[in-house]
Amino acid sequence: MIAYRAGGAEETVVDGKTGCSSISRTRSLWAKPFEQFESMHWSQILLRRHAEKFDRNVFRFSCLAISCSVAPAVLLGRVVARCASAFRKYFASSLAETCGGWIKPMETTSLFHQSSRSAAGAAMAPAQVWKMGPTAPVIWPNEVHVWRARLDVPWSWTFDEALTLDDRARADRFRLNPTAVDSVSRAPRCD
Amino acid sequence: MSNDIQDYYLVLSRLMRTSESIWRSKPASEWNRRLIIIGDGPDRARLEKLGMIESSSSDDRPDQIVNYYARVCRAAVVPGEEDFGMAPLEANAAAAR
Repeated sequence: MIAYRAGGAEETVVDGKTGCSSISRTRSLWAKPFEQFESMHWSQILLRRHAEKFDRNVFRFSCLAISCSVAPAVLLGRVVARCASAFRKYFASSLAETCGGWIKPMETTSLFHQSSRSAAGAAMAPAQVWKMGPTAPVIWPNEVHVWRARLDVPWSWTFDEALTLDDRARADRFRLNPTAVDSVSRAPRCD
Repeated sequence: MSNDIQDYYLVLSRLMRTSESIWRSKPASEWNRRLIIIGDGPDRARLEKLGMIESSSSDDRPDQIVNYYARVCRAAVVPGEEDFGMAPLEANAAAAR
């Protein structure tokens, strides 16, 4: 690749690695990259790989990686929202900024059935009932699922019903510290 | 990937009056390379009239043409200025050196 080093070519042509470039197209300087090019060996495979770095999907994933690295907590592809709404806004805006619209705005799915928001409803205790999540949550390529887990919910039998026996046994070993919401502390084993 | 490297430079450029000196300049003759110019632009008609470039009859498949020549050319030459620098990448993707 012999290119005039200007505009986008400054980024896509790595001088001496994927091509030779000249900062000027004047008669004397334009011949320089040709001399350099002819004296070097070029591997088509490496050049092809260089081009693949600019593949659209690679670009998207690297954007996700950037966004995830600034996110407060990332657990195996699931992002646990801490201060939910502020964090979600921040995360959404940083995604939108870095990905420039490639990624759809997030849909939020609550795992609770919301009680009615009327004045009468607000006066009563906000009854929140667990909703069943999707049986097989699918994460498509280029998607990040943000899960918000509320830990300050009064305990109910439905908690246990949602868990498998294994999970229940595991859950019994953990105890929620009510003063620090969202932190799960490990209780000493009692058995 | 093809290993038979031909002795021509593939010039991917917009055909402008101002950039004519570039493909007329000496590097190509110095290295004894032919020039294959693929591009379009306001200067095209004049260049065709001068016989500097042949008018291609298969303009309906420009991508395949570029791919073919990029695979076997000695070097791709991108003398133009471009905002995104896609031409070098596309040539690289087609295994142009």
